Amino acid sequence: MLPFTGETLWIWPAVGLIVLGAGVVLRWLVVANKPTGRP
Amino acid sequence: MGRPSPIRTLSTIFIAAGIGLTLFPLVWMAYTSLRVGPAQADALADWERHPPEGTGSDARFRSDLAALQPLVLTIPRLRLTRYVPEGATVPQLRRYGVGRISWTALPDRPGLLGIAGHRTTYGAPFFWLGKLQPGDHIVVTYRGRRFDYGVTERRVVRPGEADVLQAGPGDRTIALVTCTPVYSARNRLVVFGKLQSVSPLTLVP
Repeated sequence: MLPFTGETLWIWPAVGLIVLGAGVVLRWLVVANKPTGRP
Repeated sequence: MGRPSPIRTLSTIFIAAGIGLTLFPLVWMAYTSLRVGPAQADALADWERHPPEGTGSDARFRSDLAALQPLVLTIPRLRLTRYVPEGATVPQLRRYGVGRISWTALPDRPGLLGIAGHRTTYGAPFFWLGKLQPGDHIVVTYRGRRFDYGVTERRVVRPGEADVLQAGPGDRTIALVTCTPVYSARNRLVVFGKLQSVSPLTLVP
């Protein structure tokens, strides 16, 4: 085997962007479902 | 003011985690580079303080000659100078960023000299290795001599293809090995060079 000289770094932003996207969608759902109008 | 809904809390956690995961490689590259920097600087300074073989009278230094001597790699086109310790094991590469592949030849003997280095982390010494073109110089300083190699070719191989580091009979070559593509350990980029000249190292008093 040739020496190990790197790390699979691209996976972190890939997963991170998916998680971030899920968070943004959830936040949007919260805002969209917030009751409006007079109490 | 009521309590935040569980979904809102969850979304906050997701957003924070997402930002953290996305930025993690940058933090990791900076952290590992900061770890390697002082080790490299100290090793290079120590190497420069002790005269190479045959030019000094330091008894302690001469006694060290029984052991394998480290070498110094210089790639003018990349403006890169690195102390290259013996061995390209994971701990060694994490400490210095580069290392000589122990089962390859030493510069002053026939065969192929193999040097491995990190591409993106631990100082990223070989980040720009893919920029080397045929004709570029790779200089190795070892035992008071300067070995000047000319780049001949670049090749991308699988990690298991260690036989690319086998030299032909009588060949005196060098191979610089790193991971490719950048940010991945899927393959290995190997840059080959052929020995062009050997000259004594001139010391500045």
